[in-house]
Amino acid sequence: MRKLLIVALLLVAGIAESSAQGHIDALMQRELHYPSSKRDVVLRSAVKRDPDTGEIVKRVTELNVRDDKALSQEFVSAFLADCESADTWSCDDKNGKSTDYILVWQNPKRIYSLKRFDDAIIVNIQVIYSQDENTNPKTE
Amino acid sequence: MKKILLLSLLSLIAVVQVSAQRHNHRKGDIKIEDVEYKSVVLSYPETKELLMFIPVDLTIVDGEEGRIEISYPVQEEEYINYGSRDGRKFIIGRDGNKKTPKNTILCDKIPVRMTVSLSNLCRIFSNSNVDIFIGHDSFNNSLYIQNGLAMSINAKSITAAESIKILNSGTFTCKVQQLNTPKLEVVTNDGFTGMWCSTNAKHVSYKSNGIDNISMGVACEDLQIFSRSKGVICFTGTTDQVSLITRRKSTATIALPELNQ
Repeated sequence: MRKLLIVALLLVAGIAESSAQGHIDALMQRELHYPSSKRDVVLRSAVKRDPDTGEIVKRVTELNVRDDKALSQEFVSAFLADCESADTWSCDDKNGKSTDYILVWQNPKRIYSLKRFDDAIIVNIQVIYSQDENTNPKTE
Repeated sequence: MKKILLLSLLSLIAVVQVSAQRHNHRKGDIKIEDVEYKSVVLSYPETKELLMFIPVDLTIVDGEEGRIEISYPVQEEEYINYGSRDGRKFIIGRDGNKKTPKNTILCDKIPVRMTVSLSNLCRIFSNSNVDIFIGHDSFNNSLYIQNGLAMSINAKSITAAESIKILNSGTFTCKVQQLNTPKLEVVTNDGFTGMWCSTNAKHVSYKSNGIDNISMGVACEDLQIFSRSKGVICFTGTTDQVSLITRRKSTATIALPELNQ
């Protein structure tokens, strides 16, 4: 019985680890592939590749949405939901004008930031796959 | 009195029928095989631009460089004007000095037929109903396609050495399996644009304020979409960079599945 419990706990821990920023990623993938907002949206996504191997070393995605409170709220909820699994996080209220959320995970390094204004949000996601050899999961 | 009334009614009906018949004779469906076509063969090797202001079926083929063959209905001969300007532009349209005939038979079903061999062609401009079939698919420079009314392009592939640019303010449909060029740019769509194709262009940009039905496969480095439009925009394939900007009036359904792989 104990063994079963340990296995179950390990499985849960594994799933939690693999979907560390699952809520934000799912939302961003949805907006990238099937944008839902019919308002002002600027979405940019880019990858940096290793010139020798062609492998992706860094991925940056930025989403800027204006006048879409429902989508803004969805992103804030996703950030709050993924907050617990982050290695470090901060929430900074800029005198009521804006709120900054920053979530960071390591291995690979992932920096997720959300800047929320009254009528707009800016989401920025950076995933660095191989900043140096020690942090590259593929070389581990 | 009754007889007079009856007679006048009958004569009125007869007059209406005759005038209707005449009208039908003038404007009714003229069969394409009944139209007598006259052909002219010209040679303008320096031609780089084609400008069309009347309905044309254009076929671009391999052959002697600069050869332009035109077939037009004999009835329209005196009203059609064509020729080269500056050696670079070939223009076909109505004769500006004469009025357009009231009962013109030129239409999308009875167009002027043009067959050209122009590998240096860099601009196709149309302000009428134009169907283009591209057999010879290789162009040495950039290809700039401008449509003001109705244009459809059919081809297996189009290859342009530098770029393909499209500017549409009418109805434009492009059924080309493969667009081979380093840069593909829909400069602006203010009408309806339908494109069903794939491209190997490294840089793809699509800008629309109109109505779209776009289904395009890409394998590019940079994809830019600006939409203030309606309809469906769907890009599939791979790209390293995506830039998507939608503005307030945009209600287009934009789908970018499987990008950034």
